[in-house]
Amino acid sequence: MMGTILRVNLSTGLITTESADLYREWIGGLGVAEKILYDEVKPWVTPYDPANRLIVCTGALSGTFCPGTGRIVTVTKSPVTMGIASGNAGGSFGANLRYAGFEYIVVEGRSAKPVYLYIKDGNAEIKSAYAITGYTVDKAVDWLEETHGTEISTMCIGTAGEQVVRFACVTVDRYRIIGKCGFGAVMGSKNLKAVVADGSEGSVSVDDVMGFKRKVDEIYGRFDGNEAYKNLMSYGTLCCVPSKYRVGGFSYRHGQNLHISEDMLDTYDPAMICGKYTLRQTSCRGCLVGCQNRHRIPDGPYAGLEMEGAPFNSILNFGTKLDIADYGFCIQATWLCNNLGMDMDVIAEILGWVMECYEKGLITSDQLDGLELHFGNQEAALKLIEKIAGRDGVGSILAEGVARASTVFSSKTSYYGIHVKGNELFELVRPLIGYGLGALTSTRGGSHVLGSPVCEAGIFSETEKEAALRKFKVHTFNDPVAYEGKPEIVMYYEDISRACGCLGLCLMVSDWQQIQMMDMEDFSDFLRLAAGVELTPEEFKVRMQAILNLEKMFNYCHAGYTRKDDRPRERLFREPVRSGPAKGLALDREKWEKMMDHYYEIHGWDKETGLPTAETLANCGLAELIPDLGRPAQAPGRAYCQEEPVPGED
Amino acid sequence: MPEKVKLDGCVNCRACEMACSLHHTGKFGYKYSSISIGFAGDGVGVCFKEPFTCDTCEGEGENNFQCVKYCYRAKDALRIFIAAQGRGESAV
Repeated sequence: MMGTILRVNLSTGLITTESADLYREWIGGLGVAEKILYDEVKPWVTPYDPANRLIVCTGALSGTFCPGTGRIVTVTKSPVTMGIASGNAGGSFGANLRYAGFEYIVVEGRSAKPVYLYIKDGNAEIKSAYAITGYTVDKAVDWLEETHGTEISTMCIGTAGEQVVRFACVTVDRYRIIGKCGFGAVMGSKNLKAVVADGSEGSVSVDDVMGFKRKVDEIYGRFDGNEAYKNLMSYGTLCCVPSKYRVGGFSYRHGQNLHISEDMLDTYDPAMICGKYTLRQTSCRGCLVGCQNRHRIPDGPYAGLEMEGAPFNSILNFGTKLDIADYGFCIQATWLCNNLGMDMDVIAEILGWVMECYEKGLITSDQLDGLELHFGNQEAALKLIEKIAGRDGVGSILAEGVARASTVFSSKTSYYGIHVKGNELFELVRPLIGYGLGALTSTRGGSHVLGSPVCEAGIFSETEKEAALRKFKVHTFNDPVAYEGKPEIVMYYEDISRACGCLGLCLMVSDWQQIQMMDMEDFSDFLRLAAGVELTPEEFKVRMQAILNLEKMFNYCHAGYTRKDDRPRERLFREPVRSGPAKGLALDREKWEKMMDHYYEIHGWDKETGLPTAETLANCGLAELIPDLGRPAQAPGRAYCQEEPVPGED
Repeated sequence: MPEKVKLDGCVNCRACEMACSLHHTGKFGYKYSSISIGFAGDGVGVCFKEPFTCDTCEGEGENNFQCVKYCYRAKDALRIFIAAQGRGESAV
């Protein structure tokens, strides 16, 4: 009952199908996809080679009405990190793909001409994409809907993906994003403009309908009277604003401070924003949460724009980080990134880095094709975003991301970039140690959805505290600046997030979002009810650690990543926060290294190298990977990851 | 497809369609749902598909419309729409 894999070779045009039963040990979704990638993409294959795979996957819950099922997962070898990457987006694609007859798509090869893939009723066709080449996502999806009807789901690249901007993203159903790690670039390198799934004719079933319904009823019940969801359901993730302010969680002027003025805070008040901009909340397929806002800009220079999905990140990325106090601008910039097809967290880090270097005289406006990129310059920021998408002038250098671009500008600029494993780092570390730890150790290079906790800044009732203590077995879950206990919490959520990825679930309905929501016991129940597979919560955790170990080994063999690639940038140790609730905080080197020692220890990884030991690999059923411990990447080519020169010491 | 009647609070999750499909066929899908969700002006609304197949969830118990049961955000509005159909009155 593992489902069907659709295999598409864009070089030969051959389309075949096969059963996924071979991969039953890997549960589904993310697990299966990463195993396929490990087996089939060899270390000598670069991400833009035709031999790289783009894998799209669903889970046993995709297409059902379990809350949080509207997710689609993708896996590839990332052109940003050169390691393994997973992506995750909302929308309807997961349901539509399964209704159309497939649980997985594995795309390999490269088409000689621009094409898109069309899937319906158990069949797939490679179709010409000449009509939509050079189109932004909006226009391309308009054309696809006119051609195939409005019941389709789409995964589409914009012009940035066609230009193979290194961190180009994939836009799902117009507004949801497979962000970071360059999935759009991989699609662009394959000349694949879009994947279309029409599920209007099909259906999926679950193993035990009555049991499944009873379990869903129980989960529905957990939302009743749940304070944490009241604000999420009303404002989407904008509801994070107050708690981020409370802990010094806003990057201001590219992290030069982590505190914003009260005036700026008022501009970004969730209730005010919803009153002025929000038409309604919207959901991904089958999910009751409705955390995506549909905005319309009523006035100002961007009036008239309507879009869904501007999350909390939009405020931090385009508001506080660039010293701009205008939510209309945040929506406009987000839409521009989504529509051109570039990850906005990456774009914001590039803009922030450029603006800081510009401010310090390290990058001049001559080097920026005449643009005056001081903090707060909305017009110049939007122009630069367009240039990057088109690889136009300086845009072509910045299209490679901060880590690589800083090797082209003066070496002094590289100190200021905030990235990890070649990937721009959105997550703050200094005020939120666990959140930062999860992002820095994340195998896809940053991102807070593969282990970072978000509970450090939360407010816990007594019952919630008891639940947290029982689950984490450490006390520091609500102490953002404590170092102890954070490895345990990150490891807990490494399992939770991967279980969600295997089942097709969203993190927002798990205990990552609120401590009493779905955890490994619930996932074990759902796996049995939906797929008929018996796996205890403990066994489930072991499989999730197996997936994590697989990712670590892939990264070692393909990109040479070891402990030193988990390190925070120097400036996070050297620059104490200037003001606000996090005033004076910088990372403490000794405490950080001790915490890292413990992190590797509890995972069964070598403290020196950060790599799985042979015993750990054997214990999670990966004994066949033990020889790979002796096969580090031969030519990782990561000059951009070297130690950065510290100003005054270089 | 008839014009959709706007549902206050609807977030376009379409769990109702899945519940309806599950009631008719024991499977989750869109094709066998009696109702269809989609844009209605600035919001989201519902209509009965043609040909008309809503049996007001016969067999699921008294007044236990499955679409309403699995709706979380627009439950009241949806119940009014379905119940009106059951009495043979216009839903608009």
